[in-house]
Amino acid sequence: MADITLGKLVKRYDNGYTAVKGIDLRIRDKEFMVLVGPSGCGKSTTLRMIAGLEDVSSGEIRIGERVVNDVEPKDRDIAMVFQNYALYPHMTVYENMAYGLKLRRMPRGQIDAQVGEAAKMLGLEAQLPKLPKLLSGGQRQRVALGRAIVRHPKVFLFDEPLSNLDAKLRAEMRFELKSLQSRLQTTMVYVTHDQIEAMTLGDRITVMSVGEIQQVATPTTIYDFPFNRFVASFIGTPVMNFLAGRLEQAEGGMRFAIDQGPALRLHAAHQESLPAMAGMDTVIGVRPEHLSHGAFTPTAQTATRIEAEVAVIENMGDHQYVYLRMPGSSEPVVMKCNSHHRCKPGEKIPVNIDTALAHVFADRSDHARTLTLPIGFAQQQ
Amino acid sequence: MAREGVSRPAALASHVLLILVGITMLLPFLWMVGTSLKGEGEVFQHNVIPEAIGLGAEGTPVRTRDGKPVYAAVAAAAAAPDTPEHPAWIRGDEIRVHLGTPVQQGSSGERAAMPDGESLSDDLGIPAQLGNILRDGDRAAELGSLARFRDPRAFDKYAEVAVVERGFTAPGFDAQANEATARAWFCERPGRYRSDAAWEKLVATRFGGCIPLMLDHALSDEWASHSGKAEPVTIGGVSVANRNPKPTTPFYQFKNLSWGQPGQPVRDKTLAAVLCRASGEAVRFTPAFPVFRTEDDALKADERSDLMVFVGDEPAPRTIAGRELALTRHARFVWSNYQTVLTDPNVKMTLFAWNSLFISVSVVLLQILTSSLAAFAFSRLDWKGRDVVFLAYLGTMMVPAAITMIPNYLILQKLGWLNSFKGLILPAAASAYGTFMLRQYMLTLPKGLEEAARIDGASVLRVWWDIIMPLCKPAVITLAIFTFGGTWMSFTWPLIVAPDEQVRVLPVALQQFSSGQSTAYSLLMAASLVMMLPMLILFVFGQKYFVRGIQLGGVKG
Repeated sequence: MADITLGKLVKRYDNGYTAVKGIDLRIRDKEFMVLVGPSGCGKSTTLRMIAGLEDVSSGEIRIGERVVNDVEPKDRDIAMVFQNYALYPHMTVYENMAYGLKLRRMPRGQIDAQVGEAAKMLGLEAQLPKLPKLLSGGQRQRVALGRAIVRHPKVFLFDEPLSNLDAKLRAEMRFELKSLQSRLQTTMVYVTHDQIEAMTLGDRITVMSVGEIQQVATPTTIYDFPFNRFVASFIGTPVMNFLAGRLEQAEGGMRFAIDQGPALRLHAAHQESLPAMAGMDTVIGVRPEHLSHGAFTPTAQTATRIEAEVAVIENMGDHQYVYLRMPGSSEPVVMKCNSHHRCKPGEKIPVNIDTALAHVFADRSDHARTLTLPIGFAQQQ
Repeated sequence: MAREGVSRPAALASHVLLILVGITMLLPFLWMVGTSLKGEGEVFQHNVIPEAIGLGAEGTPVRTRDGKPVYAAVAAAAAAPDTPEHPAWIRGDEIRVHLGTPVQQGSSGERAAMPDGESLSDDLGIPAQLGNILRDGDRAAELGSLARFRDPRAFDKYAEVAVVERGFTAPGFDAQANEATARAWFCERPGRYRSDAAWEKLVATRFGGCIPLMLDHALSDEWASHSGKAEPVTIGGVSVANRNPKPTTPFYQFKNLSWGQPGQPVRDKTLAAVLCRASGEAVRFTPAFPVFRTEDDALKADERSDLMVFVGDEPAPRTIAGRELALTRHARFVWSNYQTVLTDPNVKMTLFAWNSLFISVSVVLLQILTSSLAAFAFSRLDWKGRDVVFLAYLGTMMVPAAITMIPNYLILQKLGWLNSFKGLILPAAASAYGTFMLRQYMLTLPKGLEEAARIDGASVLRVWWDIIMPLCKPAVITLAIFTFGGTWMSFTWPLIVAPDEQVRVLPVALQQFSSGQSTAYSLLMAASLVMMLPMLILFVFGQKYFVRGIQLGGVKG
């Protein structure tokens, strides 16, 4: 069993800066857990504490049943892949991969077998006698992976392993990592700031900000039910649209009156708590794909039709992002729609805003709690 | 193309300046190389390429200071029949010079003796040996006849030469007329006989009590001031009748005239002064040092000497039949200086070289070990107060070595490590400079490597040895070269703490070529070059590391 439990984990540096502010997290055995957040959120520090590269200020880390706070990295049965690969420049690929095994005094034959197996898995057989400087970025990353997997550790730790690669390679490696995980069946902890990696790779995602965990959930849950405005804004591209306004009680339900703009009828699935907030200044969050071009799509029951002016269009091929200027919003509002839904900059178009999957936040702060969650959602986390 | 911002003339001027400065820096080195190949007598001459004066047509004719050519001739008595097929005298031939009494015409190696049979010995009390063969060519002794009857061992030990630097004609000296005045030839007192006691001993032993008048610098100046006057002058307490009121011809100097012994490489770089008189006149050439001259050693002389020297435009000797040859200068490299330095059992260069090598290599290895470990701790490990300790450590670099020398000496004395390899090696085994340099280099290595190694299972020492050290190779090599150079060439410290022969190092050993009053410069330079050789080789092959060392550690103090 290699589940990882973090209890009240704190990292405080000598200069007084607290990078991790007492987080609790349980990473299940054989789970692919992604820690995601903007830089400085404490995700890497958390990972490095799990690895044993940083001392724990307080709290505890368990791997399996064992508290490993004071266990040397080498005795934690973990392997780590670094962002800059951290390959030993003076050793060949083979030696890089075999180094950990050699230190464990494994017989030569077995080292050969294990390195060979890992190299085969990663398609590195031809590179074994080369020095790392002769390899491309993707190959180096593969060697770094290979160095981790030859040892058959219980836990893999990844510290932004793909961020030095170009977009195409990154997609390729994502796929490879995913299939690797299903083959290896081990616990993996993966740190990234890229929410696409988080969404695609993670069995579960931990969103962190300013040293605290914001939400831990599966990618779909995170996407559909962000626990607060921070999570809502961090996950999803383009970013969710946030419109400031006020909740109003109207006939037939709640309305959200955008400041100096039109009012939207609210049809969120879980708006039981909203009436209590009527009259309060809040923010509504609507994802770009919940806006549509009124000239091409009928207005759904749950949607409100408004007028907006097209500012910029980004064509993505099959779909396009239309940046709209709307009354009451200083920021442009993004609409994701079919690229055949023609419009041009400067044109005024009808826009449907569907609120069935929209969220209302408790106040206007960056970490405002989401009001439109199922009852008891917070407790489930 | 001139670089931007630098005009062409300015660039040219700076290049010329740099080249000039470069040449200036190179000159002392060239002087060393030249001197190491010179005979002892020509060390202080200005020629860079060593040369000798020989007899024969080859080479540049010798001229006196006022430009007159100098000729020599072999007297009829010694000259072989001179025919075109069989020239009387060829380069390399041995010719005999009669040096006085019949006893001294004996073969080389015989003891020199007074006519009454008493043995002569030199001022060291070692019996003088007779060597009276002059040779030409590279081994050459052409004119000179200051017979250097020295025990070779004594020579090897001191490599000193009694050098007559100048010769004068005494006023009123008339070689033909008055043989007795020959004893009053003015010679400058050789450098090593500055002390009166030594000189008197020399006179007593070498000259058999027959005192040539020796002038030291002060006296020669005095002489110069009196010359040209008709009154008798008193020089050095000796009254000399000055019968010739005219200023005497300036004396002529012939340096690097060498003496040799048959069958042996010429080591003796004796210089003879040549006495010349007025221009154009054939002048008796005789030993400037009237060595072993005795009372009856009258300078009737045509039959006494085979070799005559003439000064003037007219080469023909008036009174001597025989073969005339021009005195010429030609390049002569005294390689035997190196041979002496390297192989002479009294010099023991090999012993000292091994000592130096052993010490230098030990210090290099130990310093790499200690410096890299310390640098590792100062750059890669986190511990409280690390940077403060590092600064304090670095601060020791600011203390001049001269200040710590005495306390260090006392410590070694207390430990009983004086005159031991321990005492030379261990105090140098750690260095703040090396630590600083390696630390700077280690700081540039990515932290990730070390973390990866730790996760791979490496202990701290393993990280140091397996990961950090291989990556520090350029810095380590640089440090090794600098340390080796510093140790190999260090002088003061070894001189103080380990003067004994068994642990003596090369730079200290070079001292043996210099005794209280004189220095065997050519041997000293040959030995110095031998000592420099490893450094020169290191520099040629390790230039980039020298540059890197300066970049890494600032300028080494």
